[in-house]
Order: sequence, then structure tokens, then C-alpha cells
Amino acid sequence: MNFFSFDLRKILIGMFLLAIPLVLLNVEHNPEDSAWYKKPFLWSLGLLQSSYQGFVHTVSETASTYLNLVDLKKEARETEQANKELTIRLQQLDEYQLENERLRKLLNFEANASMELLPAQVIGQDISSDHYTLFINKGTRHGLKKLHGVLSTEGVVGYVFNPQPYTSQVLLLTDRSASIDAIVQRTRARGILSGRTATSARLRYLERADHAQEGDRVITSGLQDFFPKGFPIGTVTAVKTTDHSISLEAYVQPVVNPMQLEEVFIVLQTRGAEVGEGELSQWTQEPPSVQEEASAPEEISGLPSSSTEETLL
Amino acid sequence: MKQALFQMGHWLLHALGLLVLISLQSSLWPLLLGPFPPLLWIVPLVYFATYYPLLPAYFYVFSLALLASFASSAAPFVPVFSLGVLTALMAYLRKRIFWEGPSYLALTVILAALLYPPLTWLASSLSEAHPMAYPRPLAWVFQVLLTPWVAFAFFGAFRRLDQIFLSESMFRSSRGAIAE
Repeated sequence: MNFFSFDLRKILIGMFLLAIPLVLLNVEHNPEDSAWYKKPFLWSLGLLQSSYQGFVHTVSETASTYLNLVDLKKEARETEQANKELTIRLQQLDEYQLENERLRKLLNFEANASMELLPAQVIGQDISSDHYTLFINKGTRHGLKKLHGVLSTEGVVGYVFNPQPYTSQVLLLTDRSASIDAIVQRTRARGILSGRTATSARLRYLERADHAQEGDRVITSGLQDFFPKGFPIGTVTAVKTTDHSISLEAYVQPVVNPMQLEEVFIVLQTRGAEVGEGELSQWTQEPPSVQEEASAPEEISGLPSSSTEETLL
Repeated sequence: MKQALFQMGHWLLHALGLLVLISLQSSLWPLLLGPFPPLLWIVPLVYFATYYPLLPAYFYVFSLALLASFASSAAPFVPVFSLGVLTALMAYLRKRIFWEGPSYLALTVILAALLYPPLTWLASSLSEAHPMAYPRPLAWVFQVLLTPWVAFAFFGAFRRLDQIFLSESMFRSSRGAIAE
């Protein structure tokens, strides 16, 4: 066998095939770029995902309409009764609303307007099972920009990382590439939160002296401007300490299960908003303690309690 | 010229098909059937790797894997590297064992669904700043169990498209009588 008799063509082809993945290694160094060549593909994908979402919505609506018709007679009687109850509650709510408006004026703060939110629907998820992103039906045409925060009514979901004209990709806080500046509510210890598994995250770079412990609540620091300060992220489930490390790492259970979301809110502008203790209890779904229930028996979510009223006045 | 146009049409149709499969996997399946969809988009790529001569196979696999990477936050290197290795493996396999029909494609799809997650883990470790640390075994199991059935459903359509769009020699070589 002649050592020097080789097929040059095959070697060149082989080298070319090897070169392609190596060239793509360089592409990932600019993940922030939303390249022009991606746009037609992502636009078409968004169109298909939106139509599937619409289809599923229509099917579920039709199914529920049919089921409703089956029980219509029974429900009519119940509705009549409920209607009477609701009329009475509505009168009560009118009272609360008037009272609420008056108290807001007194304190001169914009509770809801402090954050400009845009609702969006989840239309898809990442095709890779080890990356956690969502597709939503709002894009740059609706005012979205890269790094806008994404919330649900319960807490932080993630942030926009690939906005397209009519759809956007949201990097979930459970993705390993996510970075959210967070603080432990009890100790005010700061760290960087990134994803760990589909349903958990980790808070890194906590100082050893910070004494984070299981059960501590983790909230946004507000330093990144993606989110208002003090918005709930999750709860510490474990703290990892190693002898050789200068910092601590805490495992965090997010308050939101991002894979089960159907609707989200995008924070278009925080305007330096800060979520206070009173508002936090409104966002988290924890039941009030016995003491709280005793002091605020007629509290309705989103409306000030009698104790809050005293404070405001 | 005509043949080149047909070849381009063939690629475009497959790109469109890939788009539909990606949207089915990322949108319709999770909305209707739950959080563990099959790896639908990998099936046409495995088909190319299984039935086409090596060079056209790599052209189709690399270009369509790159398109698919746009629908993920993964770096493009990860799917391109993983599917590149799978393509070489399929070429090796078909030289040793091959039979006609959709069951062979289903077998290679099972292999691909089994090997794709470890290969992406390897590619992620080689290239990403935050490599994969916690794989999802349940998602892996579901992918291996569900994806091969798609091969049975699409095999006929893929063969028909090849027959219409590819040249006689390419179509003949794509029937398993590998002419490399």
C-alpha cells in the first residue's frame, strides 16, 4: 500500500464537513444578535404556532360550550341564585372601589401605573428538551424589547431574549443561561439566579456570612431594570456549602411553574417601581395567617384591608 | 437547470415540512397533549442520513439542523454537531445492515432519539458557557417511545417527494443501494 496515494477530493470534502460545525462554534459567541436570516423562519414559525394556539383555543371553547349546554337548565337555576348574590357583592365592591380611589389619592401613589404591563399568550416552547424558553404572541411591533421582564400573577417568569416583529422568545428563569439579580428577602443577601432543572433554579455568589436558609423567600433586586424591585421569584429549598468555595449557593423553588403558563405579562417599563410588603402578599398565593385573618376579615385581594386603611390615613 | 430547480424545490418543501413539524412539537403537542413531545423535527433529518449518499445527506442535515436551531435557545453548534455525528453513524450502519421499508427508518429513528440527548450533552459541554448539567430522563424516555411512530407515518411521503423531485440516479441511490 502506497502511503501517499490518497483521495484528495475525499479529504477536502471531509475537511469541509468538519469545518461547518467549527464555524458555527463562533456563531454562538453572539447569541444576542437577532440575525436577519432568522427572521423569515421565526416569523413563519410564529404564524404557525399562533394558529395552533388559536385552533386549540377554539376546540376547547367549543367543547366547553357543548358541555355547558348539557347542564344549561341546571346552571340557569344556579345562575339566578348566584346573580342575586353577585348583585349584593357588586354593591359592596362599588363601595370598596370608591374607598380605594380615595385612599390612593390621599397617598398620591400610582399603584398599578407604576409598572407598564403588556399581556401576552404563550404559543409555544423550546424544541430542545434541555433548554427552557417560551414563545409568546407579542413582539417588537407591540413595544417589546430585548431583556424586558416577563411576569405572571404569581411571580417572575423570565425575560425576553429574542424579540421578533410579532412573536418573541422568552428565556425562563429555569434556563441555565438565565441571569437574574435577586436578593434573599430576610437577610437582603444578593446573588445571581439562574436555572438548574425544569422546575428549580439556583442562587449563586451569596456571601458565606449571609446565612441564607431553607424557607427564605427570594425576590428581585430591581437593579437590572427588567423587573420591579421586590417581586417574588421563589423559595430557598436548600443551601449548598463547600469548604473550598468563598460563596454559597442556594437552590430555589420558583413560585411559578413556567412550563404550565398560558398567559404572561411583559414589563414594558418599571419606572423604578418597588413592590412593597403589602403588594407582595397580594402577588403570592399563600393563605393569610390566622392573625391576619382576624385583623382583616373582609379583605378582598387587590383592595386595601381595614388595617391598611388605618396606615394610609 | 431544471434538475437544479427541482432539487431546490425539494429542499424548500422539506424546510417547510420541518417548520410544520417544529411548530407541531413546540406548540400543538404541549398545548393539547402535555409537556413531553416526541422529537418530531428529527425524523426528516434521520431520513436523509439513512437513505441519501453521504454528501447530499450532510447538505440536507446541516442546513435543516441550522434552521431548526433558530427555534431553540441552544447554540447552532449543538444540533449541527449532534446530527453530524448521527449522519456518520447512519452511513456506517446501513453498510452493515439494511432492509427496505418504513421499519428500517423507525429503527434508525429509535437510535437517533436514544443518542441525540447524550450527543447534545457532549456538544453542550464542549461549546457552551453554561453546559447542560441536569438532563431530563423522562423527556428522553418519551422521545424514544413516541418518535419512531412518526417514521411510519412519514416514510411514504418522503419517498414520494424523492420520486417527484430528485433525479433518477439520486433517487436510485437513495433507496438504500448506497452509491458512495
